[in-house]
Amino acid sequence: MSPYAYFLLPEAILLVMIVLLVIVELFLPPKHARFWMAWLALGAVVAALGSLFYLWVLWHQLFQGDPLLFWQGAYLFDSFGAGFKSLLLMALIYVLLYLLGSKEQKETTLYYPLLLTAGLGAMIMVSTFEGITILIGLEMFSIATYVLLILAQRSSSAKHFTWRAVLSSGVGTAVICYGFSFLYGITGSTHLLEITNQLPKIPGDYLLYLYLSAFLLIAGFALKSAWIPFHNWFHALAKPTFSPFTLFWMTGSQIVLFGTLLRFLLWGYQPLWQKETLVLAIQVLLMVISLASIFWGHWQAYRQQSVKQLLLYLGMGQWGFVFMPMAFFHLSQGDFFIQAIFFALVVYLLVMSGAYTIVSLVTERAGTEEIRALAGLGQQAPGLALAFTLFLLSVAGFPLTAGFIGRFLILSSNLVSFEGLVVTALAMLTTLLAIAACFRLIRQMYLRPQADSRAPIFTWPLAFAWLMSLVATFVLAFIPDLLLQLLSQINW
Amino acid sequence: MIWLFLRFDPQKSGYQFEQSFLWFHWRFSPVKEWFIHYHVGVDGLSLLLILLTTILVLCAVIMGFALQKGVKAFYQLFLLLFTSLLGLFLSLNLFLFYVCLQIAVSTSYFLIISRGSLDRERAAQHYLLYHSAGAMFLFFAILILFVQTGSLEYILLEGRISLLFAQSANETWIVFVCLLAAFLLFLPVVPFHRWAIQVQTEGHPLWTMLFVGILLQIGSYGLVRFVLGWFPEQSHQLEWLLILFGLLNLLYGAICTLLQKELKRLIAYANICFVGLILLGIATFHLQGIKGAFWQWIVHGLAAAMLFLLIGSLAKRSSTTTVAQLGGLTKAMPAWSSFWLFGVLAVCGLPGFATFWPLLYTFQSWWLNHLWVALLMLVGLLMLFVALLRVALQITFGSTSIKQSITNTKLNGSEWGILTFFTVLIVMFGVMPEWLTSIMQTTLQSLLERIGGSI
Repeated sequence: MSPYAYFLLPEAILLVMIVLLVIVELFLPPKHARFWMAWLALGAVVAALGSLFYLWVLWHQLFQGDPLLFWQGAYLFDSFGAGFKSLLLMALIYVLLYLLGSKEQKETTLYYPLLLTAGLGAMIMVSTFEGITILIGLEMFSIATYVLLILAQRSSSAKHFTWRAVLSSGVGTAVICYGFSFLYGITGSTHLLEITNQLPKIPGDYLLYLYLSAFLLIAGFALKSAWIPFHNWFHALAKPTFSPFTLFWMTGSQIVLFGTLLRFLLWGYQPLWQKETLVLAIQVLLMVISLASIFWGHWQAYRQQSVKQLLLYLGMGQWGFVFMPMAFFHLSQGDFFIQAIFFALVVYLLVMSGAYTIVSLVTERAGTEEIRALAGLGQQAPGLALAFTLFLLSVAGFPLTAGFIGRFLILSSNLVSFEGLVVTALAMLTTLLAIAACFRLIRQMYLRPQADSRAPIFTWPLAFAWLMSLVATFVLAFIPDLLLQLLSQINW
Repeated sequence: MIWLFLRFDPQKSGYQFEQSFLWFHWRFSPVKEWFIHYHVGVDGLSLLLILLTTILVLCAVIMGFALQKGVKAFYQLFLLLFTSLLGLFLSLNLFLFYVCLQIAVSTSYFLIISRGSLDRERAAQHYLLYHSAGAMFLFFAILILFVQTGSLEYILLEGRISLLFAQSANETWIVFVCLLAAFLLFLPVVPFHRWAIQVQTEGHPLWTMLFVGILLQIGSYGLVRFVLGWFPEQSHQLEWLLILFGLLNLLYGAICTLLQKELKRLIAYANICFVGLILLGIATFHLQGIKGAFWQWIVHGLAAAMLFLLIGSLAKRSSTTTVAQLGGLTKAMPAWSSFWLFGVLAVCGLPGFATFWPLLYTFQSWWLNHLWVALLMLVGLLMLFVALLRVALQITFGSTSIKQSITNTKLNGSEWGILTFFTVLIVMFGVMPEWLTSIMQTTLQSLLERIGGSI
């Protein structure tokens, strides 16, 4: 037993709660109400987040920010992993608040252990340098999300998309394993640090296989996360039945999968970033994914009639921005690009969760997901409308919003080469579409007459969720140093 | 504002009343740490615009007393717009300038859609998209400037761009072109001017008053402050482009003014002409010409705002603002007609009016340097004056076959007060031009020294 096993406390809290929830579900008679299980799950996630912060401070004191490896290197505690884990736990808090506030989903008790299992798998994924452990975490996360998806779909029309999603995600795992097998085959190790040591020594003949493995890994993660060009099931996520899953997928799931890919690229393939041919190939691929996401996401957002789909596509556009610095990180001096990515991810999580919560409140009231559901919100619920307006302005990158600061950091980290300059210019050009899409919603709220006189349904958990987002985005807009200084002190 | 105006020392070059706080910072690389400051201050250039902003906002707020519906939202938005405009002219950091600019744009958008005329949505959308396109160029320039120089402080960048960009001439040009494109879009120059006509026609008269008085000056302010002030060599090389856009705006605007049949559109196109005149003034790179452009900001802002105020007050009383349906207003509304004729004559720049001086300065400057520009300018101005005077006389002394229905023909107290105030200012600056000149002279000279212009 490692003396540092207590660094697994957040994971242990989630595990205990999963077991407890499954047992309670098994033995509690069906007639008893179960919505309190969501509170239990929420308590566990909050406790896990609290313990993670405590461990992070402790780890800083004990190890001065150096990565802590234990269990023969199978598990790891470092800033990168802790950062992604905290984002994931925050995303889980939003999803659980959403479940608590939304009347339909309260009694679907299986959601809670499944969500926690997905969260646990995701936490394992970003807490290791060991390829096998990453794959175990990935599978744990994937299987739980498959079941969540299947549980979420109730109508026959959703079935088609569910299976498409499960298939894409399953193929994604296979492609990731295949890509990783090349790395193992060439270096004889599954540990990323060992792979990093071995890579400079391998003969030139094997370089092609290395390129292939990198491409396969990126393709695999793209398949799992529905990044362009594998976004064929993206549209369906906005179906009403998928709501809690959609929120989890939009935020927690995307963030962790991105973090894992980043872990592979930054640590596993690190020595190869000196080789120009590989860099160019990967750079072009990442630039294309990034630009295509921004353009396609914003263009589709502009065209949507469903407000949830519009929000999803705006999210896709935002992902494009988060992706961008990855294409140029080999040219960056220092770790500013990670700080920029992290800042943008925090903003993305806060804004998307807040906006999605408000949209759910409004669409549930109106009984439709079309944009007209927002009509008259400015008069009926001015506070809600103002919050949603600020989230939209943040997505559009308007100043005095956290989204603007995030975009400023992301784009400035790109300007390290001529390609970065061109990509930045193109990305900025397409944001005009995002502005048009966001202001379409704003006009709907303030100019159109209200569709019905009922005020949006008020629930404390959802109100807390969007208020939390609003306050946090406001604070980050005016005092970005609060997060920036924390990020700059971290030894990534 | 009065305190600031009285304490300002016009003999002192550089910025006065400076205040600077660290807003946020981060480490870009192990050796580069970047700081963004909240840095404000004034010089002769910004002081006059701040003064104009305050005057116009005060007038708009007083006029807003007559509003019946949505008063709270109107004042909230208006004060936000006021704050952002002050921030924009006070800022000594390009980042802060951009932030204030975008707040002004989004607030204006909400003011147009909430209180404009029938086609206000389309007008607001076009306004937003054109401004966003301009803001994209500006933001891109800010990013490159920041990455290359590590600072967005005016004081650091003024006159040092060529040193800071020593290694990357291409990037200097990219930044310059982006800044130029951004501010030409904000001006606006022909052929990207449709949005300006639309918002002046569809916007609420109180906002429009502020738009023609202040928001329309942002483009030329940026052009002088950043494009000319920071990139003098590049500006000299593209001088022909400024002349081209200046003449295009003036001539095209004048022709369109001749064709207009509605009062708001008439003044909107006249404003396009004046944008051209400002551009021509800037393009001289000469003390007289640039002084003409500075003057034009202030005095045309006042005169155009006065005309929009009058159109707004006519629209409240009459069912129409179409020229053909108006006539003989001197009998129906004598006070209104007097102010209207005064406003039109002021816009035409008759001697004795403040607007006379910028026309004289700009014309004189071109007459001495490039005669052909001065002659084309003269043609444009003549067409504009004919168009304006023809309409002014038609609606005041002319007759109409259609009888317009005008209710409540007398001007109310606030209208009287504000219009008299505008009249006094226009005459005062016309008779005693040194009041304005003394404030801007030192700033102008230091700008010309920096850009290598002739005095």
